[in-house]
Amino acid sequence: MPAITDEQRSLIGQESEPRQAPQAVNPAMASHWCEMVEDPNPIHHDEEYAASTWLEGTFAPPTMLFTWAMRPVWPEQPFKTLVAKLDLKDCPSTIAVKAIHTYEKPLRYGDTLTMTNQISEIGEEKTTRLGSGHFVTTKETFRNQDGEVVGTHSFVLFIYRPMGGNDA
Amino acid sequence: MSREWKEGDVLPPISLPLTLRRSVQAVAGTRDYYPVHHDEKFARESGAQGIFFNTMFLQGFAGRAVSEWFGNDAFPRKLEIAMRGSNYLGKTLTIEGTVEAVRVSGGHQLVDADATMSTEDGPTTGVKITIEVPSQ
Repeated sequence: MPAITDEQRSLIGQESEPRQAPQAVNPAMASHWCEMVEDPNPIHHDEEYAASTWLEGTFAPPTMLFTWAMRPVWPEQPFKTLVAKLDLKDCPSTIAVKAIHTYEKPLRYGDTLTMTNQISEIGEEKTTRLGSGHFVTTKETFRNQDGEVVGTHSFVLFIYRPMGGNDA
Repeated sequence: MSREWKEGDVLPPISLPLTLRRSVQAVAGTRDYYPVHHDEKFARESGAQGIFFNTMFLQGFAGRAVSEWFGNDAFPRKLEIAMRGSNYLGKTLTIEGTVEAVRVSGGHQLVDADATMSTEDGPTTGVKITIEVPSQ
């Protein structure tokens, strides 16, 4: 049984060192995002319209949050994921079950973001139709250049031993 | 475009064809180069039925739906995406939903909505959103 050790439990809530987003929040990436989902909302690019609303100016689509944290594919930056650090024995498979965003403030063009991450929850062992394992929640907190939290991104992962062996 | 929202209000369907071009836009737009999202052979070998769209794309589509349903000055406060099935290249993705609850806070409405994304394969994605909508 892949029980949770005290060492693994001690990781819960431990915030990582901050990491800088590779690009400042910028209108070029925002317009590619809007094209992708055919989002015509002028609040993301029309300064006059945006200034007339309660949101007081343009901003990037809030749902882009996690994209600002994506690492460049070149040059490659080696890193160790939180799940690798957690090192759940006998649980070789991971699937994402849920992704949860919270949006505290609009991401303004020019904002430079930093991210910290943590494991926020490790569930007791559960058996689903996939196999036996643990639901683990990871949380990434995004802050702007003034240190204000602008949003959070949580993943609920199921880290498990597949039914019928480790190689399913 | 502001209006009073109430429980049970219908959020009508919005669809996007999941074309090859859109998958290219999604890879570049979300900066996600994991091969299951652009390499058919890799995707099949990893157990999928083909190239499928990533979670960030689904979040973006939900964001577009928020603007279309609640107005250009609606601001999402929380978005929960539950992955239940894959959204494959070649299908058409549709989101639709209903308003579950409305609270008033600081003169704005906070609307909780439940939505589902589906393709020809059936429902693939559960969506729960809280949206801040300014009052008139």
